[in-house]
Amino acid sequence: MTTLELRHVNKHFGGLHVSRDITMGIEQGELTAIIGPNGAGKTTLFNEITGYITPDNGSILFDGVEITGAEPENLVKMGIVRAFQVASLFIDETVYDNIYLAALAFHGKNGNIFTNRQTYKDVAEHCHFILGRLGLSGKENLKAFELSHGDQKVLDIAIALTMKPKLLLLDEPTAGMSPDERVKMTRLIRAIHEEFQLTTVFVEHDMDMVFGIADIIRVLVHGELIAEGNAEEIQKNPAVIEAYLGHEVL
Amino acid sequence: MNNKLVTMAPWLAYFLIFGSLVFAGGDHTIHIASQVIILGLFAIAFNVLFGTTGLLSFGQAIFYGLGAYITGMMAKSFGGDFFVWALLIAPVAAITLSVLLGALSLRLSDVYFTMLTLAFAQLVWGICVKWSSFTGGDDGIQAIPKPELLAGGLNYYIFSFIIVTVCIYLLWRLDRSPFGAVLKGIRQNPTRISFIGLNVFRHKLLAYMISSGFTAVAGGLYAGIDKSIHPDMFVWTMSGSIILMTILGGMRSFFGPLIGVAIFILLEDVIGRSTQYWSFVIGAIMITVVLLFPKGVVGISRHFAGLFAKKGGQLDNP
Amino acid sequence: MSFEIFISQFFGGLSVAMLLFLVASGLTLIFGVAKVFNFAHGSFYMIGAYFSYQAIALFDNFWIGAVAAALGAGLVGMLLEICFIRRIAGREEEGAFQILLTYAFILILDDAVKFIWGPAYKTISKPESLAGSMDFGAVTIPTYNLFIIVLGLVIVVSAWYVLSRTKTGKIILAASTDTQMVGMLGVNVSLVMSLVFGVATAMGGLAGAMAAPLRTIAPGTGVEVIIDSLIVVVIGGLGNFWGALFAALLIGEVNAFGILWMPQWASLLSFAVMIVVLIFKPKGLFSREKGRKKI
Repeated sequence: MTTLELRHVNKHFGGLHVSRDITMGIEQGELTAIIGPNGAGKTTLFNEITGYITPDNGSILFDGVEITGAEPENLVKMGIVRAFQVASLFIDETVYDNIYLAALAFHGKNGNIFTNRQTYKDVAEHCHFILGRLGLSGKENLKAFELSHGDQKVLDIAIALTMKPKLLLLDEPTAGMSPDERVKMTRLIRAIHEEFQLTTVFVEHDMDMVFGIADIIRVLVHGELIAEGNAEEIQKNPAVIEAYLGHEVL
Repeated sequence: MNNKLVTMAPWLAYFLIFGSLVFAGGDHTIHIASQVIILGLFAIAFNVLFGTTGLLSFGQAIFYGLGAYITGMMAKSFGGDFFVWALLIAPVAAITLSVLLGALSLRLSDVYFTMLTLAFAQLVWGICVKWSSFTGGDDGIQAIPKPELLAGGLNYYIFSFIIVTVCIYLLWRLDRSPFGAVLKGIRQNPTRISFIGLNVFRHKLLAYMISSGFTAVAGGLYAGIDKSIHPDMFVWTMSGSIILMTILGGMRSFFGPLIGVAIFILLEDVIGRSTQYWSFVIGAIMITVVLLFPKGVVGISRHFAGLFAKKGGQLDNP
Repeated sequence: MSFEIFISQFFGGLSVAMLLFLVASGLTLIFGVAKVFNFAHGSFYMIGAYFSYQAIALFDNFWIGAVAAALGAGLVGMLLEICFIRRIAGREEEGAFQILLTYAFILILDDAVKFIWGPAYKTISKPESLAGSMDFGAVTIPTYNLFIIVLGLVIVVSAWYVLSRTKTGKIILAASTDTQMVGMLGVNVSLVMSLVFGVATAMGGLAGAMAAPLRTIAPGTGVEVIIDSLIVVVIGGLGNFWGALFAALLIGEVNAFGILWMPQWASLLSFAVMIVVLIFKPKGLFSREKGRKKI
């Protein structure tokens, strides 16, 4: 079954054609990597899928339902959740409160005005589960700004996971990380993908990671989808080689 | 247990200070204290927008003045016994107006929001001055009747103290509620709030409505202090003073605005009466606070408390 | 309404619009380039009027007054930018603190002029060469109003020319969008910002001096002016030069004709126009943003 489908999606920024007639279908349970040189329109594509920007034309379907132009908050409720290239956190709050806020939202407690927020047992359990699963347990009382860069990225993903996504989009999950952290993050993504039965799409520059864990790789160049397939197919694809010529990536 | 003591300490201080005035205060002190608690409610309600949600409104005087005029005009028309009922109607009217103004101004960026709230405040002030057949124009309204029970300065202080305390308690609950957590999230990262499935605009609007409602209660109470109201309650410098008091006390702390109000009113009582250049003094204080102490009095004392705690720690672990 | 009244109101509105544009374009320039919202912009209009009053009292020459207004307001503007506004750059919630800081300037400048020149109104008379009026058949228009319209047009055209056709303009615009890059190219960005601040406040001061013969000079006028400019800027779109021009013309004419229609409420008509614009075009009539969401 197709979880996410894009049909002829186009987007211009001024004179720049950042999404060129993109058509693709992502199957349920797939772990997809989107690769491409800088400026290929990968983050734009994420922004279109998650409702942050609206495509000029074309349509996006989620579980067969048209979602083009829907607001991010409604897409989150449908199960489309993302993490960001630069970790998007509540920077003055503790790790626990970051996740707690997401959990409050998930359990629909956000409109409760005069109740003490510490009273919800189900929300607290949900938080502890996420904290434990993502290895943040010892750090729950640190402020988000006190975390290492790597842990901030993990916390960003933790917030996303708290929303119980069906489709998880990760924008450069290993950007700026040390080799050690990269390995951990790669394992973590593969593990949560299976454990939470997600459909996962990630943008990445680290090719070891891409070829290591992705089921399907899609290549975006100048806003255009030039190839899709498994690792072997992509490595042999002449268009991809052409696009990356001169880069020591493959 | 220790934690609980820490959260309750400000409340203890609040009751000790403002409660003891009931027994110890002279007429002038009670008059000053009434102003402090009523403007304190205004400032704490304002800080729901500013310190909590990150929205700088330059027009909260609209709701303050509205509360005062509704209370004053109703009591004047229907008699003193209606005064207390008018205090209930004032927030309802303010909330209704805030939905309209919020819908126009909250969808835009922060600077726009600030400017629009200011422009709306000037509009309402203009209407109040020009529609003199209805509002009394520049002269305002004098000799507002109150129920006999609330006649003396002390009785009215006790009455205000009870209402203000209930309101502040509700706002304190809000600060610690899930909704309060969302508002703090909106201040820090509105984009992330959208991406945990929440509508930023709707939460801002609700915060704006709540803040405006409590502000109107403060305005209504103020109408009873001197039994007179005037268009200056709507004027933009009123909003400006509340902002100054809030940051002077500390916008990141729940009781900070109340402390700021107390300092400001006491200063005004001492300096304001001896100079005709009070605005200049306010401006100078504002610049000093913004440049040097953006976290206000509470921020400074926390800083020193932090230093003290560190020194103590070093002694324990040589 | 007779044709004569129509024409004379129209020109009256046009001269008000030009003065409004002088102030509002300075506000929008500072916001567009330096990303500072200068709440005190109307106060530079006010001190401009006072500087011109003082210079005329000393030299008995209107034009020296105009120069003194522009130079004085510009210098005070730069001084305040260098001493205060620059110091809070990059701070968390910078926008709110900028507004509070410039709000403090309003209070201080109001009291400063009261201290120096006293609380009473001051007036300036028109220069003799422009004191008369011109006949156009049945219609008579004061020469001074025509002068202001021409002056406004000259400033519009030269500002447009400098910003879009000269190297200086390119540096200014680049410094606003890509501060770091322009800094690396050897341009002193903070100097550029101070100069922009100075030019914009000088325009405000000049507007104050030009308006003085038509209105009165008094402490507190800065606030009325900033509110009018806010309305103009909201209608035209913040940071939008041509939007400010169009909105100033709109508000100038609305006021000129509104006063015939409903004299008591005329001053509130501009608010009504602003609210209507906000309902239909929340980012101003000339907002260019498309596709992107509000967040």
